[in-house]
Amino acid sequence: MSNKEQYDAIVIGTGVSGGWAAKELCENGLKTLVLERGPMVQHINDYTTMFLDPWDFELRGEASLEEAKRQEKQARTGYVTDKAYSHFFVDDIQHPYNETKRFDWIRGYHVGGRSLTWGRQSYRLSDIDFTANKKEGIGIDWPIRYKDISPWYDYVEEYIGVSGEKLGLPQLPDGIFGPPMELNCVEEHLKESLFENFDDRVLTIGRVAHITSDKQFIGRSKCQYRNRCMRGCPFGAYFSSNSSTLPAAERTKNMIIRPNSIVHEIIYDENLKRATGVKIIDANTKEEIEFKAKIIFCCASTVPTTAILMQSKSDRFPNGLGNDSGELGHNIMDHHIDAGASGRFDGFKDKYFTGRRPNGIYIPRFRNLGDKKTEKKEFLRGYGYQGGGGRWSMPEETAKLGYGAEFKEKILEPGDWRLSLDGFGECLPYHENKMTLDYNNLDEWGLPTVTFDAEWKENELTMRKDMVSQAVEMLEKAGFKDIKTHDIEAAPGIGIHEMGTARMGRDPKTSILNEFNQIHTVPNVYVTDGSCMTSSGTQNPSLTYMAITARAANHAAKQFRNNKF
Amino acid sequence: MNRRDVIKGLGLSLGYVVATPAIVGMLHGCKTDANQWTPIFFTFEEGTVIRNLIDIMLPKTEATPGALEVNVPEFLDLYAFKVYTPEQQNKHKEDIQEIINELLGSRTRMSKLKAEDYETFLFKYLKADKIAQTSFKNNQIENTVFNALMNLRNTSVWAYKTSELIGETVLAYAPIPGKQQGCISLDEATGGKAWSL
Repeated sequence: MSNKEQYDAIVIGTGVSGGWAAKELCENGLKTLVLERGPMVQHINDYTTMFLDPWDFELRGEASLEEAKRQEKQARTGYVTDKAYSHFFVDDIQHPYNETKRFDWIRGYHVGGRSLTWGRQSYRLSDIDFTANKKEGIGIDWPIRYKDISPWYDYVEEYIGVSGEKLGLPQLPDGIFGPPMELNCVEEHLKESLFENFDDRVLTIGRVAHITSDKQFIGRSKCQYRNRCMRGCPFGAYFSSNSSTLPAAERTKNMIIRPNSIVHEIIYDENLKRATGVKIIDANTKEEIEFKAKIIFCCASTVPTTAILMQSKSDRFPNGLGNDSGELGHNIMDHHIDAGASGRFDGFKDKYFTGRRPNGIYIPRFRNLGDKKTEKKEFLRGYGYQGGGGRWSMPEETAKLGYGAEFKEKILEPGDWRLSLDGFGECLPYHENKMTLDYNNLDEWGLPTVTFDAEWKENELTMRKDMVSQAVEMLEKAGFKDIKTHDIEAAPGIGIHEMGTARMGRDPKTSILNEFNQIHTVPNVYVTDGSCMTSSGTQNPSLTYMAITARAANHAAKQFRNNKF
Repeated sequence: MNRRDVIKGLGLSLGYVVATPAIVGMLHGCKTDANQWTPIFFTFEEGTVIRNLIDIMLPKTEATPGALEVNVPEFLDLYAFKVYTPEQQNKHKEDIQEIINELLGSRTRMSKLKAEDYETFLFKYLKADKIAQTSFKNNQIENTVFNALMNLRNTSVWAYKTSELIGETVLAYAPIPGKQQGCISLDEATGGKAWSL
């Protein structure tokens, strides 16, 4: 069935990228159809668990065995299958994928996507990141530099609200910040120790997309420090598409949003040399429908966007839309995490904190920044640390009591202070790390399933040793005891930062997208989610997707006004 | 007669020092009490032993409720029934059986167990010093019992602290803190208690 209505633009997906594309296109006056494969999630109304305490759940939040069987892959994270937010993650039986090598594909299909459940850490890439591939001859060069995206970082941060501290570091450009959240006693102690003992690194509070200032945000208010963000926030205190960009798009009256719409193909017109619309399957009725538009924004998130492009085959593009280079689906990246150390601090026994801070600490990258001091020959690039401190472990004196009345009273007091540091390492783009489509294994809508074939390689594995040893060194110098290291060599995907499978570049022979995220050879198709990333950086990438999307959407609107499409 | 009435009737002081084992034995024969709870995962015998052990681990005191008042055994029974995989369930059953066997020793029936027997048993394992703990590793049964008891204690602590009564009225409860202070005195923050959430 073809839908007669012609839209100015179609946005595929409603996560951080889709929400921003919808807002910018609608605010530019374009009549925009927003398609989401999952069901509607209305801000506040559909946050079913937002006020529940552990004892309000039958099993204190744990999934029953029956429920757990439907989310075995999502459960690899160890946390997303908690009943407080498991409904925002997919049913693995209904949404299968294949693993030539293990890949942890953690995602949610609903309006808002992972903008509802993201970690909210918001860091800018720097020119150290944008020039790294070129300098080292790795992959291909980014077609943009920091100056191209910097005003869009400003624009996005101003709108979403980012709390943090300015540091003046070249590897982690400062942004527009609301007041920073506070470090607790052991974090402050480690910060002072780093200042005294190291000349190459600093500790700061995480930069996080929460409102902490008195500035007015439409329909959103200040963080209340409940730390129940992943359930959806009734205060709209952290940024999500549902609380922020989609309502903005809605207010223009230019947005038509259609949930339960599984886009599987972009229609290409050989004569016009343009895309003319998309094909969807209604998730519930399984009806096939076509929608027409002048501009298509692919914001379905890295893997689904790439799968849609791969399925968009024509005589001109037999290997997928815009895939003259053969790079579509290749160079998949994630951040490698879960390597670091934790330690106990015997002090501050009479100190505690108030509020459940929805944020941790950050130690920005300090390796290979382009000077002698930071040069590390064993591996390329670097890593940052995230983590934090708290009073959660049972003190030895309490454990010694074993049981009984005194034991019981002691467990009602705060535990020992512990602090944990976990590296977030850059992953290089490797052509052989890839995703493909399996047309022999179809999902319930008759669509091919995704197969992953990717792994960490020597550079990542070598870097992890440094992630562990530096964490130990920092904790030791700060007087932490009982230091425990961890290096859980899990598979890619566990960072939930999939990137790179439709990369930006200067040359159609080696990349899919140009400097404005247009498909080189089909300029009215823009791809602005993680698939566009040419390298991964060490920084959590969502803020970059938002800035890149806002920039691309305003570019598209200008082209549209000038009748370029 | 229910359990609480028994305790009241005995007029026992349940302060810090006097723990419940003194009454465990008496409760043993208290049929009406045991009938109140029909375990869904544990057998009646297993349920009774677990209940008695948990009662000694986290007893009621003047200051705060005990684990039985917030239904810790009932919750752990439900949890094992609904959350554990069949393999975990089997292992759990085996562990509990090891506990019961070790607890019974040469006795033939549970009804022969006295309160002191529970106390002696728990004392051996959960008050063991590092040296004793290491020696358990050399004896397969002792090792199993030690790990099973540690597991029972730790899950009981978790279930106790995440119960509504303890979470809302005993621990410091702040569903909507509204502000965040990183480093303030424990007294000012919560008066010495841990945060419940």
